[in-house]
Amino acid sequence: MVEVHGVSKIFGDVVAVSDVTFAVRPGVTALLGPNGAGKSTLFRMMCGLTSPSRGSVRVLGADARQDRGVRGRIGLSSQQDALFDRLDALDFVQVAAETHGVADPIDAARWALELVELNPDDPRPVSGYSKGMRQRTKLAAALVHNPDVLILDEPLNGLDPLQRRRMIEMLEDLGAQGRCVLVSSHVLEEVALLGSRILVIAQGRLVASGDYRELREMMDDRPHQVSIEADKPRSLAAALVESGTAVGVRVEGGAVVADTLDADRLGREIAPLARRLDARLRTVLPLDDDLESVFRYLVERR
Amino acid sequence: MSTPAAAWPPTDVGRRVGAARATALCYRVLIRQIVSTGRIAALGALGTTMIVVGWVVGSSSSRNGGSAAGMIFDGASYADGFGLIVIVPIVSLVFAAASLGDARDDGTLVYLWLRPMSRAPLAAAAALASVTVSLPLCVAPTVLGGWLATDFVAGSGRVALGSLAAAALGTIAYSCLFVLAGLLFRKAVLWGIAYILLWEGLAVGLGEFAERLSLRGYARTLLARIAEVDLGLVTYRLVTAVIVLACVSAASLVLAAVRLRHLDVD
Amino acid sequence: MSESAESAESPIAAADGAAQILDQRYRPYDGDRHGLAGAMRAVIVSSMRFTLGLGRPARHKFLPWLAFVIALVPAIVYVGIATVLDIDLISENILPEYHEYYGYIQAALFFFCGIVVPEILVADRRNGMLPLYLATPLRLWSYLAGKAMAVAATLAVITIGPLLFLLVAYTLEGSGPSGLGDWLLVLVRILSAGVAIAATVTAASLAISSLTDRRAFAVIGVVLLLVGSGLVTSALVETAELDPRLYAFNVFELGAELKDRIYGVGPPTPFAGDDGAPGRSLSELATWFVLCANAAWVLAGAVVVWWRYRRIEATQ
Repeated sequence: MVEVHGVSKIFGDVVAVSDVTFAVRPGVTALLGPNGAGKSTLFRMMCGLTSPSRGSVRVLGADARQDRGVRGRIGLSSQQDALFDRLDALDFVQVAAETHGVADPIDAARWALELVELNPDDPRPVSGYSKGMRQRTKLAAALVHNPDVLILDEPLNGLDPLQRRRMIEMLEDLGAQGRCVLVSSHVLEEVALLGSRILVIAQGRLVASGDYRELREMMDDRPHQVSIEADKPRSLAAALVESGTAVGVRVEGGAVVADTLDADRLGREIAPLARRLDARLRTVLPLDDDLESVFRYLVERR
Repeated sequence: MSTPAAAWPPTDVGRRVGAARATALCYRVLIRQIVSTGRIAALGALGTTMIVVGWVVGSSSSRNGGSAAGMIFDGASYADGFGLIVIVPIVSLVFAAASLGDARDDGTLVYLWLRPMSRAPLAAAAALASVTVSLPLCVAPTVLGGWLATDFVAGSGRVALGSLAAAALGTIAYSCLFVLAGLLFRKAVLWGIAYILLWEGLAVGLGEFAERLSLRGYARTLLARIAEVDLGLVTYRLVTAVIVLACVSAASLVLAAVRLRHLDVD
Repeated sequence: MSESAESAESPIAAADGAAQILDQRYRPYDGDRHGLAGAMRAVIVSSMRFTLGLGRPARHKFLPWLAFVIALVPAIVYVGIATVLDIDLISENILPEYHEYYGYIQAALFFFCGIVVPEILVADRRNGMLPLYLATPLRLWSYLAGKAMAVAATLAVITIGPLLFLLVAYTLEGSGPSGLGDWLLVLVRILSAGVAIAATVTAASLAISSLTDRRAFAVIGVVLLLVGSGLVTSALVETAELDPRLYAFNVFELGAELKDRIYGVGPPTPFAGDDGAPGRSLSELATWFVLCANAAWVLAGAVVVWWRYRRIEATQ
């Protein structure tokens, strides 16, 4: 649904995005990268808000900068905090519906606001809203015209934990309905919750794409860490090193933290090893199968 | 956050918005954005000052036995000097530069830009919104101030009519020009003031060529021709002035629409 | 503390000397402190750099430097032409008299005070720098005094610089004042007229700039005050023939009138009325009145700025 081919964006002396190529299919895809990595610039190019210096961006087969029809099928929640501050939320979302040609804009606006758990009858102008409420108002405006492609730049900023969880569930549902939902974030935990498909961008370059667990598996040149809680941790640690399953171990409290080059082998061999030592295993937990370690490895190569 | 229903709400989703509808929608939003109590109060006070001083000038001049021709000249000069040179360009600048310029600067332009609409209606709506707010704030003081300054002597109606035409067409032309400026420059108000002070204030004194490139000369021509008063500097034929002001307005809007097509939106 | 300072001074020693831990944590500055004078100097220098667009992209330089060009270039051109053509500067009327040059200066002054000066006060409030300044040895009065000095120093280039250049050029060409006494008199006139012509306009500009955090609004306000006060007072006095003391409200021309009094000249060409008699102008006013009116504007401007910043300080 979104195709980015050989795209670069240069602002004066600054290369914001450099030779990026990827394609996004329906479902939720997370664009992950530190602040200033070029995520928002990529989103702006997808929406046609700025044109690429090189390469091409196609959304639903067309360039949103040129094609009016495609612009009507994109929903954008930008990173900018500004809204039309003199309008109340219903007016704001209604304007979004009307300017997208929605036939029944008031009903659609009410529905979208209720979807993001805002009161459509709140008479306050949006200038009086909290950051989280403004964020949800923007999301309602992005959703109100039933877009095929939803582009959300840091949509979880300013939401409390409960709202974040609900927002993530909603985005997953939207993705499951066959929409293309692109979400950017620099917060790793958010992206880990959003779905397994990620695009990692750093210093304007795409450094990885795909399922982050698969990406983690591809990084075999770096040991995995596994925490093993057992009642004979020192014996277990010695046996792991002796068998060659672990390349390093340390004992922390009642747990062995093992560095291994082959997590699958460790998973297969740990139970027989424990039985041979007459040790009781309580937990076996991969420590670095999280997104942060993937991200740190890809971006910082450590 | 609720889970969205499998079916989207019962709306018939259109994918394009016609030019007239788009203009009306953008106009509705932009006019609410540019009107603020502070702006209206400050610029309204300026207009009120012009009207009050016009009344003082008119009543004092007639009390001092001024001739009818002199008072017609005084009224027209006053409408020109205060209305056309100060109020019309500055009031137009404040609202027109804000219409799309503020939206561009604060990032809200995206909510009107990323829509299935062409660009021309957005430019037209910005100009319409600016003109709607500026017109009463420019025309009322210019016409009333100039008319009161004549103390209603015979022929003062011509001053009022000339002021009306000049202020109205001047406001429209300046508004369109400054809508374009709002898209061309960040801090368009500063550049607009620089244009008003340096070009229309200083450079026009350098020669006829410079004056031909300033809107002020064409607006004052309307006043001078209709009021039948010689206001000095260059005056053109009435038709020429009207055509030039109309062409500047139209060209500014076309360029604003083109600029919107190629604009980088935040 | 001493350990960290020591380690900071010799970080390389650890490579081949005794083992040591380099403390990379926060260390307070313990060098020389320049106190209030240093803080004021910092305000003045940074304000002048910011105002003139130094160290900023070209678009920030354009407007302030344009004011300098308007004020200075005619003087340079006059002197250049006269020198190249080897003409006596004064007798051939190539160069204006000192007081006749102020037309260019007034144009530049209007432009500079209208568009550039507001940024000097507005920027610190908008960028949140004011609380940071006030967390230093600066107090409100010293911060504002620093700002005023920055404005004065910058404006001196416009209001005094061209005249000093002309004075030097006249003197070198042999057309300057005869004798040291006259020369010093002209110098004093140039300096005092430079202050006089800028004082009211600057005070009004700073006062309006203190009332809003948006530069555009400040600029519009200053321009409207300068233009509007001139239009209203001339309409009331010249057309409606009211009391000429109303000219006390003509912010822009008051300073120019004081300058004329300093040079001991009247207005160049009084306007003629319908009856052919000379029109009315500020020259009808007594010198003490002109001086008091100027002082009143400066005082009023200072009071508005002080009152406004006291309120801002109280709310931050």
